[in-house]
Amino acid sequence: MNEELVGLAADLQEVYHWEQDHREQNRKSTDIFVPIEPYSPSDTVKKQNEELVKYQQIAKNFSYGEY
Amino acid sequence: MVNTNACQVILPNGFRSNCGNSPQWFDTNKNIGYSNFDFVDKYFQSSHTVRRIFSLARKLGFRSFLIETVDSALPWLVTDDHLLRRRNCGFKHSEVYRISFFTSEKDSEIFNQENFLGYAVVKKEYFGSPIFPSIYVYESVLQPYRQEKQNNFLHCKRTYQVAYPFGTFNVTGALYAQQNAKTFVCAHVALRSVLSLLLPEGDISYSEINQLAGIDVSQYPLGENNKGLTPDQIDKVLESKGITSRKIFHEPQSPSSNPTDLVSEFSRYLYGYIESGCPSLLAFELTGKSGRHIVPVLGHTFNEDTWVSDARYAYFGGEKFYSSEGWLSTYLIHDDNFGPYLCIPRNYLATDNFRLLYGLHYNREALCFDKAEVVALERLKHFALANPKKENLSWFNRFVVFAKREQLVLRTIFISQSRYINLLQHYGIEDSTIEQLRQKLPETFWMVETSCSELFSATRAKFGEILLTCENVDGDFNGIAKPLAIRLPGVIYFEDENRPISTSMSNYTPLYS
Repeated sequence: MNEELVGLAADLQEVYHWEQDHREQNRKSTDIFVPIEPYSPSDTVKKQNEELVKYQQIAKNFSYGEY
Repeated sequence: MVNTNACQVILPNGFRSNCGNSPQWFDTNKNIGYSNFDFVDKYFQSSHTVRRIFSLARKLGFRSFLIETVDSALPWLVTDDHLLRRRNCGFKHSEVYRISFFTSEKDSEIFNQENFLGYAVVKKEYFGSPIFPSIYVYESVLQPYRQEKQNNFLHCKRTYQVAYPFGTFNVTGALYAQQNAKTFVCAHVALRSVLSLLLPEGDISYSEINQLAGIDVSQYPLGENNKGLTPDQIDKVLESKGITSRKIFHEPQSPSSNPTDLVSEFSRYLYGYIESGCPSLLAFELTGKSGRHIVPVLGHTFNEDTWVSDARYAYFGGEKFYSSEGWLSTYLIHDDNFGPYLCIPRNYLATDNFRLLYGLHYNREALCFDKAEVVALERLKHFALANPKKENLSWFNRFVVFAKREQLVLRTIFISQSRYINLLQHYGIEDSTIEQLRQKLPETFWMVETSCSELFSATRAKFGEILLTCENVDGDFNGIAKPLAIRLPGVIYFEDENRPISTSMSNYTPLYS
């Protein structure tokens, strides 16, 4: 069986049982969501953007063939 | 945006706005001996494309059709025939017919909006030699036979008004046209199909396309020895009409220094453009004979049981998420040689044959789905990692599991603020949140829906979405997407306030359609 899917099923089961435990305790949700740091592009995103710009500059001027 | 331009259009070419002459009605009941094949053999020289249109009309349930003779004095016809004379190809004269299809029977005399299916204009061009005319479909708009219930998504379409003595009716579809291989070729008709979807006037003539491309048909014999429009000329036509394009090219015979090879991803880009309602042009090289062809791409079909998405992820080293492209089955195209509403299976067109892809829109931002997607994935994972399990929010907790496991499904769509707010009101989100969204969101932006396998494909639902903008993108498509807000079960998070707000929407919601 695929390891990733086994791992996914295990994680979903862990969450499921955690929810059942908390439901049985009949607690109202007091959890709050945690804010995250303001977005800053990762190096991966910046590199992808640079490559796409270079590609577009070439594509703009590329003309070959007839249709 | 998906389903753009549903406004009604009356066009100056006259085929739709003017009634024809010498109307003749035909009954299509097979019991009285009617046959599409016989009819097209007898009146239209067994034309393959005319037969295709009649086949589509039969699938739509036509019971009668009307043939009218189109006035030869219509300005477009006069111009087109003049170009043929300039072409010096022995052109003598032409005859043009409008064929209109109805679901009502001929003898019922009930012809109205409810039973109108669409129309086709067929032109016969007579030359000194051979004796028989050249026949082609000048234009046609039919309802698509398959719709969303059959997993067909024609994202690029328009509503056209067609006038008759007994009424004016609408038909919604994508305009199809066939080349005459003398004064306009495949690039012209493909451009006409896509521009008819984008331009406010809803159409463009071949004489205008030639003029904008700088083509003089008396000097440049289109159609001979594969002569057509170059990408430069296509660019000129698009730029003249204010259309932005984003291009991917593949020329194995020509040296080029590509820092990034996007050839292997042309299918992903085609899907990204189409899913946001950006009509596209797809060009390829023929095999076994010289020449190239270009077709407009207008939509796609969906296979909820596809093996591809899971297999790509589990067996073949896929990306760190499932793109909704994985469930795409075929692309919907018009091929001027064969007819309207044909399907190209995904991955049928080999990379070796692929040559050009144009994504088209007025708004440059609408062509940047790839930029939105990569930022969306990072941001969603970040939010998931910062917010593990929450009580009584099982759908949020599932989202966190799939995000951490890098098994989210992402579907990226360019959307308007008004459309998005309508969706949320339909879902039942609080009025106070709606008001904040109205104030914070720009007029148009990217919505990246996030879901998981089976929830996406079978239930057609999602955990939620992340909204992004890429509004400062320039002519070289330089510009990084910026997240605006995240909406997930139980929470909405505005990036500018850095403050998550609880909402009552704790369940999954339907996918955008």
